[in-house]
Amino acid sequence: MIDETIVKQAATRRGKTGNLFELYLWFWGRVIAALLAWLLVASLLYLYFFNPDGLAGVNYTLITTRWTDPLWGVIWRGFDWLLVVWGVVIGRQMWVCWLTSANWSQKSKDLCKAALNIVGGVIVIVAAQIIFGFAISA
Amino acid sequence: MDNIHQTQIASPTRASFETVYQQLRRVAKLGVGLFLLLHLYHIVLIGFSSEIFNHLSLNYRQPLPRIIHLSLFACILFYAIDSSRLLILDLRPRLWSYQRASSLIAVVIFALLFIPSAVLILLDTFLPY
Repeated sequence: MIDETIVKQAATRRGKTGNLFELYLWFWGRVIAALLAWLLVASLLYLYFFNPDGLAGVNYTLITTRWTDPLWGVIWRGFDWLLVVWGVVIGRQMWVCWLTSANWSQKSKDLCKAALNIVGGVIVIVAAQIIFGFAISA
Repeated sequence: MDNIHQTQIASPTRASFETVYQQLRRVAKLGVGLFLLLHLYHIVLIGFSSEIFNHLSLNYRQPLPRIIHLSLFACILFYAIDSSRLLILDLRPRLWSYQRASSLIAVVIFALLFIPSAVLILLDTFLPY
């Protein structure tokens, strides 16, 4: 269904360049982002209308109870971590978009991009430590 | 930001709709980014303790945080609908000729899903049961 022609056409429409692997990565990134957005919408609607206290019930107990659920705990943790990763990707995209239009030297732009990658990586690792390392006794 | 509306502009109405739609896409992406930043903030607070989390997180019993959350929900919903629309158009390239119609359909779907949700959430805020 998703073949080379589709990916290349989509990339051309948006002015994306790169080798085939990068274009596939970009396209699948969009597919995953769309799926995550729908999952997020579903989880928020569930929170609004099926959580006993609705949105007002969002507190430490609610989140940690989800995380420590024996059946769904791993899925909730994985979902929360994926949202952090997605946030880092979106944040990076916005910064890179701004950097591209900034009137800076190429070296400064490359340094900023490297710094963004490092900060993003640290955020993802720290979030993983908090989410997957969480225990009730903590 | 992707510029996907490069079709010939036929009338001022069409131009204004597509311009507004492009702006909506930008706002939606920014909103998703802000929501995910809020999510990260909550994760970090959980890393400290329950007292710190309950003290520093947004109190959704108050109307203002609830309205902020609702606005971010609107952005996420619009982003989900719009990104699905673009994926469908990419997977079925012959549908690109219906690009403007697809934008209109996206707006209608967004309104159908968002307005009832928003009414219920706001009723819950101002008329607690």
